[in-house]
Amino acid sequence: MNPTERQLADMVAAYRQVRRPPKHLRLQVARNVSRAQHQVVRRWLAGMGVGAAAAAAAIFVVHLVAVQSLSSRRDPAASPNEAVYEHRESDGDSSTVTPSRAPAADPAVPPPPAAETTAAPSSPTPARSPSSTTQNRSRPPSPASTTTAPNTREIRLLREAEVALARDPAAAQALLTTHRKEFPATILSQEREALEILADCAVSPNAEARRRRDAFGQRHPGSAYAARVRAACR
Amino acid sequence: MAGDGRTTNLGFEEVFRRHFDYVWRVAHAVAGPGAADDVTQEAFLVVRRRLDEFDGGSLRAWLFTVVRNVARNYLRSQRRREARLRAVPEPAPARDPDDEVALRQAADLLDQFMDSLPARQREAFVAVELEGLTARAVAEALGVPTRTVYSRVRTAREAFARFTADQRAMEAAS
Repeated sequence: MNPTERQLADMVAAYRQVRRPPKHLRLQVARNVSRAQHQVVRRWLAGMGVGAAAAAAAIFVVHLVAVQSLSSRRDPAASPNEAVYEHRESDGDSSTVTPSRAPAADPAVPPPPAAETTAAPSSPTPARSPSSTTQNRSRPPSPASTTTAPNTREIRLLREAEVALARDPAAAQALLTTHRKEFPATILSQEREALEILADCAVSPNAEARRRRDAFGQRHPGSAYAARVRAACR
Repeated sequence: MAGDGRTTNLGFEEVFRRHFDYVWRVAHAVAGPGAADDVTQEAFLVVRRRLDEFDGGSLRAWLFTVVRNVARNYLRSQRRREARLRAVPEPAPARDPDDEVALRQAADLLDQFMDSLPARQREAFVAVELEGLTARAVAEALGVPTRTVYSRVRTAREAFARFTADQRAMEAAS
């Protein structure tokens, strides 16, 4: 190793020791990934059919369990020495590497250039501005942060209530009552309320149901459920 | 999942736990300190959406490609200089003050050098020299010939030699 190579190695080692992510970031990213997944469930539950909602919820549960887990514990390998632990071991034996595929086209990820001479890829608009992380960091805690993240049972209850709505609205009401008791503070409260109104209107479209319907429309005019709720009790 | 970045049975949780620091470090090196947090956030959203498309090979090289592409988008919309203005240094962990200063100076110098490289040389340098990926894995992930990666790394090394020589000359003159 010549002096330049040694100096580079020393600088790389220093870099890997001192360049570490902020402590808060891991949890913040885990939460934001969870919330993004939650938006997917909201869209599916609200706008798509029951079967699609069930599929989305199932996908969500798989991811959610993972994100909750990763936000609550750290891998022993991710210790302060992780950088050294990882270094030079990741791809040391290139002979065993099988061809991998770069991520396919993505709203947030342009395809890599096909060759050295290829022009820089186009810049599609990211699905979400990366700057939001910084914005979140500087923002005071939102009301949503005081609620609990949904878990598997919570999702299942809502999914079953959604399914029951079409054939047995009273059963849907019972499921939603259970949900309300077990998960009084949840980020899925809007979904629950919408389903409750739909169930109430299906069972007994009385003045109270219409009052809740109208109140929901005023509180959540932009909700993905707004159209369905508005059409209820008619 | 193997701990070496070659994976056959992927789960997002495992990827997140094992490679969070790696993703952030690549984001830091490729996009700059002010952009690292945001790029990391966006990269993991992409990873969550696209992990099932990873079909073997070097997971780290695949992650590198994700981070690099997110960083490119980010830097297009917010120039690195602006991002650096927003950089808030993380409090340093407890170390011997002299050691800490020396380590940070070395890391800052490396950042300074990487800043001087053209984007593609910088990416190759970060992947191969900083993160220890093989040129072959990087080439496969980026979709370029292996010799192209070698060429970029070699050019970056030559630039590093000139950079350090200039540094020494400046020290000797001061």
